[in-house]
Amino acid sequence: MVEPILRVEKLGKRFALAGKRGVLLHAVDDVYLDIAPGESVGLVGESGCGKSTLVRVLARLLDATEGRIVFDGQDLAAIPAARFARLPQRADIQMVFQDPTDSLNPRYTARETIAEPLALLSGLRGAAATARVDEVAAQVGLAPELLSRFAHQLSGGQKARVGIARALAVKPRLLILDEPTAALDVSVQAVVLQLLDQLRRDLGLSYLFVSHDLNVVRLLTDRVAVMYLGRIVEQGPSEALFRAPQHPYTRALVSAIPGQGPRIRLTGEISSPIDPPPHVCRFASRCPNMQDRCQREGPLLTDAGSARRVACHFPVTAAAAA
Amino acid sequence: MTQPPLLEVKDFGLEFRTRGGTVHALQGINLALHKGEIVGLVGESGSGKSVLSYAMLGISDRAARVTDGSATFGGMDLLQADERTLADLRGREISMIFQSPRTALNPIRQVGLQIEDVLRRHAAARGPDLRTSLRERAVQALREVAIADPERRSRAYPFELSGGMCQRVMIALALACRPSLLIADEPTTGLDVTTQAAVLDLITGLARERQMATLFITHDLGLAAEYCDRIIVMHAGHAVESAPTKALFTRPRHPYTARLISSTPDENSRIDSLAPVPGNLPDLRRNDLPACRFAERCERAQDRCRSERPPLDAGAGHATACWHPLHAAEPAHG
Repeated sequence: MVEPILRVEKLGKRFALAGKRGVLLHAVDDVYLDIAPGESVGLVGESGCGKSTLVRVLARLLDATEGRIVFDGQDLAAIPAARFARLPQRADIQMVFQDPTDSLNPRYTARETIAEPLALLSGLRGAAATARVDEVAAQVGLAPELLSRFAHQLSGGQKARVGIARALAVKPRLLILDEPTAALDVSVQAVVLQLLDQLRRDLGLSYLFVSHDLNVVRLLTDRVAVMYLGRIVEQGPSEALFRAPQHPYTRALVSAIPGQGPRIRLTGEISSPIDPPPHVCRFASRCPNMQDRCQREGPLLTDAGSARRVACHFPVTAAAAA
Repeated sequence: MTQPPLLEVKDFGLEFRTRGGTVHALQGINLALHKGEIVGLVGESGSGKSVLSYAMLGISDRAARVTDGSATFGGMDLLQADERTLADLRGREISMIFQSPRTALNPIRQVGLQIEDVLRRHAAARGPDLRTSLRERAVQALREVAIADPERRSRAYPFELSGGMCQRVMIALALACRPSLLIADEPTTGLDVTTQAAVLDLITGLARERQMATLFITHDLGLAAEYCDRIIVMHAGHAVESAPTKALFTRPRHPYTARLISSTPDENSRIDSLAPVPGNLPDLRRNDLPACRFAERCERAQDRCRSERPPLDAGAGHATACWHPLHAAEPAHG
C-alpha cells in the first residue's frame, strides 16, 4: 500500500448561527478520506451536502472544527488558515475554481493572474517569473499572444485554462477542482477534461474533483466519494460504484442520470443540518428502505469489500438488486 | 401529419443592431410544432435558441429586428399581432419557463399571489372557472406541481424556498392557465440532478397529460434525448438538423450534430473517446460569414458550402442542412 499524499481523519466543520447561542450547523461531520499520489478522487453530492465546505477546509481556506488533515506526514488542520496562507505548503495544495469569470481578477492580464501566486509563494519575480508563466501557459495550451489579454477578452475555454495555469504555476502536488467545467459548453468542456487528464499523467498530480455531473466524474476519476448532509455515505472505485451503487442515496443519484433507466424518486423532506440528532441516519427521512434501526443508530462508513465502503445498515448488494 | 401545426415558423430571420455592428442572429429558420409534441431545441451558447423563443413571444430586445419570414400560432400571425393581442396570448395560450426562477419571480411578493395575478389577468377568458376563488386555484396550481403543503407554501416569498421549489413555482405559474404551448428555456440549470429529474418528469408528464406542445430549450443533449420526441439542432443562428430523437442519436447526419454527440460524456464514453467540435462559433457580426456557418469548423467543407446555404426542411422526417451529410438520406416513406 502506497502512503497516501492526503489522509483526512474524523474531519468536522460546524458553523455557529448568528444570534442563536449554542446552535450549530453541521456542514461536515466525521469525514475520512485518503488520496494516493497520482490518484484522482471524485466528490459528488447535491448542493448543501457540504462538499464545497469540505474542499475549502482541505484547501485550508477554512479552519476545521475537529479532525486531522495529514498531508505528506504533517497535520495541516493544526495550522490556522491565516498562517497557512504564508507557508511553503500552501503551494502544495492548489485549487481551481468553478466560474472562470468570477474567479479571475478583471484588472489583471492573463500573465499577471498566473504570475501572482509565483511572487507570493515561490518568490519568483522578473525574468524567472516570466519564464515560469511561459512554461505553464504552454503546458495548458494557452497561446503566448493570449497572455497579454484581460479576462473579458478571453473565451470561456481560455479563461478555464488561465485558472488551471494559475493553480499549476507553483507546482502543487494536489489539485482541488471545484466544478471546473460547469460553466462551459459541452465541446469546450470535452477539451478541458482531456487537458486535465493529460496534465495529471504528465505531472503526476493528485486530483480531488468535485462535480455534480456524474458522467464527467466517472471519466476523470479512479475513485469516488458520495456525500449526503455533511457525511460521506459511500466510496469506492468509480466504475464499480456507478455500475452497482450500494447506498440507497447513491442509487437514487445514479438513477437520475439521463438514460439510466428506471428512476428512483426520493420523497420526504431533507433533514436539517442544524443540530441533527446524533443517533439517526441523516438519509432516513428520504430513504425508500428505511427501518426502525435507522432511527436509533446512525450508520458508520464500513468496509463492504472490493475497496468499497458504505454507511448503511441495509445496503443494496448485487444479489439483492437483481 | 394531417393536422396543421400549432406553431409554424417559416424562413425566419432576425438581427440585432448594436454599436459593434449588426449581429446576424437567426437566418432561414423553419420549425413546426404540433399539439402534444415535445420538441428539443439544442445547441451551444450563442446558437440562437433563446433568441428564437423570445421572438415567438414578442419579448425580444429592442435592438432586435425581424428581417424575414413568418411565425403563426394556431393560424394567427405572431409577427403582425399588436402588443395587446400578444399580452392576452402570453401566459394564457403560450407560456414560458425561464432559466433562473430566482430572478424571474418577484422577490417581494408571496408566490401564491403571483399565481393569482396571472389567473386574474386572464380571468376574462375563463369565465365559468371564476366560481372557484383565485386563492383556491393558486393553491391547486401549486399542488399540481407536487409542492408539499401548498397552503403554507403559497404564502412564502421566493427567498424562503429552495431552488427546486422556486422552479416548481415557475412551472405552476406557467401552467396555471393551461396553455397549449409551453416554452421551457433551460428549466433545470443550476438544479441538482435528482431535482432536475423530478422537475423534468413533472413538466413532460403534465405536457403529455394535457396534450400541450412543448419546446424544450437545452444545451444538454442527454436531457433532450431522454425527454423529447424530436430534436432540432442549432448552430450559429441556423437550424442544422431536425430529426426524431432516436434517429438523431443513432444516425446523425450533420457533422456538427455528430461532434456535439461525441463531445458529451455518457455512461459508455472514455476520456480519449470524447471528440470535441473543432474551432469556435463564428462571430455573427461578420459580413463575410460563410453560407453554411459551420463551414470553417467542418472537415467535410468544400467550396459550395461557403457560397450556397444548404436548406433545411424541418418537416416530420429526418432533415439536415448540409451538402455533404454523414449518412446518406434514407428512401422516403409514404
